Amino acid sequence: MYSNIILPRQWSRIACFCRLSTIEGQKLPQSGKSSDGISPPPRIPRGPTDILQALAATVGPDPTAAHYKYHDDPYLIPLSNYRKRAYALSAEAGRKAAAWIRDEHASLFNTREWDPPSKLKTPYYNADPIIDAFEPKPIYNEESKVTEEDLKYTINNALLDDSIKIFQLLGGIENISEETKLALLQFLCFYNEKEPDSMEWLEERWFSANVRERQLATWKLGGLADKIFASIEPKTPEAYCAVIQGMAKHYQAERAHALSQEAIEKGIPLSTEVFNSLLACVGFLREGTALRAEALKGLLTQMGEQGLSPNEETLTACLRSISSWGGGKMLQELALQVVAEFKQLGIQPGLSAYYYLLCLFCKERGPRIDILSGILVDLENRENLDAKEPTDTNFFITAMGVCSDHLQDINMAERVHALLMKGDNYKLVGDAYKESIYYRHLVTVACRHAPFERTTELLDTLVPNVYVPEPSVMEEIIKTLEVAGAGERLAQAWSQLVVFGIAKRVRLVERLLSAMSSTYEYQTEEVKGKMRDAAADILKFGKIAENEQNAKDLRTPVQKLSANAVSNIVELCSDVKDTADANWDAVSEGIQRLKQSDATGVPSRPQALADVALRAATAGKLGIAASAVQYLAECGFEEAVPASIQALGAVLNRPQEEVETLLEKQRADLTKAVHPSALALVDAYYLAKTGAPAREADSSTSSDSDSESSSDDE
Amino acid sequence: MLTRLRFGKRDFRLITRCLSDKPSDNDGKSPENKPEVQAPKKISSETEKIQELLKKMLAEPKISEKEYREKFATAPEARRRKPKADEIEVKTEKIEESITKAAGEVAQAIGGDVKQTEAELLSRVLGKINQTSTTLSDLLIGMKVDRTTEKDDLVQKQTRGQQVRRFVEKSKSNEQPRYTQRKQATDIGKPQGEQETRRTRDTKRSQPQPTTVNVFSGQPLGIFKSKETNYGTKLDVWESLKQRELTLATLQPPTNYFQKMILWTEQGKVWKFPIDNEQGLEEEQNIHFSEHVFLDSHLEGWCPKKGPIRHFMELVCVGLSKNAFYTVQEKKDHIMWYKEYFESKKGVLTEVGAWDSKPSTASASP
Repeated sequence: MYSNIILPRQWSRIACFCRLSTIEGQKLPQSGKSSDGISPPPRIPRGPTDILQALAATVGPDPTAAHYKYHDDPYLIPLSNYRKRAYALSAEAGRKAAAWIRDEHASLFNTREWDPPSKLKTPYYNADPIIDAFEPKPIYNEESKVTEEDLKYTINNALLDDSIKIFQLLGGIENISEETKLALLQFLCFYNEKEPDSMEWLEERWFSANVRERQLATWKLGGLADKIFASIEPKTPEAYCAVIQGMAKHYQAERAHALSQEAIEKGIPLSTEVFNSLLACVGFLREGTALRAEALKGLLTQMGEQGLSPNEETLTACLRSISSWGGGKMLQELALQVVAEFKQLGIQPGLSAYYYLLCLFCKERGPRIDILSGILVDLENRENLDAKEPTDTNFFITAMGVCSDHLQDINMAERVHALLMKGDNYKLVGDAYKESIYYRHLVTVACRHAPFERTTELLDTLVPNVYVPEPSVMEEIIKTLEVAGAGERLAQAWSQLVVFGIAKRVRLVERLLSAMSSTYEYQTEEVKGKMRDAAADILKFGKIAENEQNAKDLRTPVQKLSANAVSNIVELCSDVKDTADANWDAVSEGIQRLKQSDATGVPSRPQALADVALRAATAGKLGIAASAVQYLAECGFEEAVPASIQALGAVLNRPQEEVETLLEKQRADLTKAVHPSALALVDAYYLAKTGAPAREADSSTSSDSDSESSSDDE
Repeated sequence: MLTRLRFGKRDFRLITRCLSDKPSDNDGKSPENKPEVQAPKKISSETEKIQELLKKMLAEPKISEKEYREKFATAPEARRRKPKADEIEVKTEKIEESITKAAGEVAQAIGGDVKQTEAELLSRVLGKINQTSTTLSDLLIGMKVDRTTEKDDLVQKQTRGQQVRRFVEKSKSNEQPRYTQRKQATDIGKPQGEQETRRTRDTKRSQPQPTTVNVFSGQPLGIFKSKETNYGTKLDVWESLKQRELTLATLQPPTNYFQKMILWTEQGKVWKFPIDNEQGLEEEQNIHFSEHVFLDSHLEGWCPKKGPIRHFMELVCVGLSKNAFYTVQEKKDHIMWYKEYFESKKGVLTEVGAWDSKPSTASASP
């Protein structure tokens, strides 16, 4: 028995030994097969970040949590757009401050205090190994001794201003080698002698509102790049390519074109890139669509004659030019021809190419053309969408814009969104500005065209961690909620408005209130309570904002709610049976506000206020009932008469006819017959009936307190 | 154009300048030439028309105040205090009169076809009326000389009640759709049904189904034929900068700790995988450990064979051999520093007897 078991064990041990010996002998198994059936996998060489990437891929996006950069302190997690931006940029400002100290006081980091004074000057980095990213940035000035190495360093690190400084310190064009000169020329041409954005400050780039690049000839004529190019003799193909590409990139189309012709005549080999850049600005050479199209085809032909093969960027450049020439059947056809031509050559259109196609076909006021579905089919079939050009980041925002404004198709929008969420594609969203526009389109199209369940699902995932709706989108959302009669969500929407920092937008609040009042009656008791609380809170919030304004003397005055909105609040809040309910305070405050003309305009539904008066009278809140009816009477609404009669009836607990006969009597008689508090209702009745109060002395009412705000500008 | 004929002084000056400009423009032969070139019949009819229109403008407006208010947006009147109505009336009339009068005088002065010139001048003042345009009346029909400001004073005294009534009357027309909309929104019980009605409403409002365009439906241009790939001259720096811009465009703030680590690794701020605690210590890569440990050899040649200095230096070597932070070069430099120090103090040391037997090779050493 035992021997039977032991034997295979020994075998395995021997096998194990064999394997160990090979490892010790530094021979790693190359193939996966060995004679004994044990096959250690072959070694896979891994890059520095491979494992980290694998780990990162296991962490999916979590819409219920705030973004990672806001995680530091749960108390400070920002929820409004403004605060998100402020948070991220402040964090970055801290990092920048540290870097500033490091650069400004470099001597603290690269000298040894204990060195004898004679040695203090020599830089010494106490860190070992030295980490370049943490080193103080070199500062170049008149005193620094620079070499060509420094120039190469600045070129490689894209420090443009420094490289120009070093170039000058080195003594200009004569003192640097041809190779460095060429590198500098390329560098200057690429950025047109403007300092590029730093790679270091991610948040700054993320939040900077990228203004659209305007197509203007910004190329610096007679600048350093031009001078360097002139100094290179004999002119190499590289020099020509660099300067032509630079000119074309910065829309100096005519000179770029002339130079390229010159180069061709001289027999200097150009490159595909040169033609790409020329194609992108070919429209600057001609006027009129037909001529431009001719020029484009001509350039392509010339490119073919030069024996240069086009690449994906050639296609993008062509479409970019075509799309910038306007619209129309002819250009659209040309664009499709170009795409077909490249398809024939085996070149797939990239995201940028599709972006330009969308721009060309889906014009704001043009006919509705569905080119997006074809594009989506193509993109969905691709393994992954790699960014090839910076303009690739425009694709998703444009596609979503087309879904929302042009096609008005929620299914298409969902496909686009799924594509963006697939794999690593989210990096193609661009920056914060583009991201928010993208979501604005998505939410808008969902609100307008999706079934309510899908809309709410989307909103629950996106808001507030991924996206905070802007006021215009919020309005759209409120409309959707109103149509669906979602009372609870409407009540929630108020707290969202507060959290998102847009509760002071009167238009939005009014929209919300009218939505709430129109959906109120269909809700359950519980939801009704929430809506009442929200309405009361709106009133309170307005008051707080006003106090704040008075205290701080803010420059932009707080807008006041309209009478419509206030009467909506009053209507909502008055729907309580309990006389001790706190909402009655809100009601009386709201009516006070109406009476004092603290609200603009007049209520459009006086009946609502009449109902409020009746309810208040029933609940025994005579003061409120009286002031509501009085307000109606002052405004001259016909509803005031029946309202006062009904309210009086409720107070005196008598049928209406009796009340009416009672009111026929003289006021003096009534004073005795009726309780003093109910007398206010009687006064209101007279006011409504005759247009003047029963007691002249009591007429502290309208005419003089008429303010500007009650004018009819709505 | 003439909606409110309340010219200030400045405006009036402008008009006069306008009038005085006109003759200077055509003080050559043009005023005489013009009527001759054109058919005389046409001219007379045209001038008559203009005159008539001008008169019409001065006459009572055709649409009433109320209609006008309904049709066009007017600024709220309560804001600004206006001069009395009759004042305006007088003023506007005066201005109109003086304009026509002035124009007539100028035309007289120029000579030629007086009426024609006058009409031209007036049309210039009253706006860019195309003389030949038959749509002149169309242009003017919507306009109105707003001189009825009698109500201004009333507005001030209106009670709130009156205001409200006026307001409500006006907004009634606007209100209607709101109610119906609300009805539509609330009447239908189930949300599903609502969605459908909304949908149909939306589709009704929007245009018909969009035309589908296939991206790859075009005819190839047939320009490129060659098969082998040739991208021409390559620019290294340009390529790397393009790559940089691309990374910049797609760079996002890290969304979890691993991504942050990736970012830091790429920036060179943390150690790279695979883990190696000698990473970044390339300077000492090819130095054997024995060079770190056995440092006595550096004493040979200058240090006394025995005595306090030798003793001290041996202790220094032991200390250095245990130092894990100095490079070999730094250790050598350290020892050499002592050498120089002792040699500078050689006089004193020999006097004391600490530097006794000077080895013969010491002089040879640098």
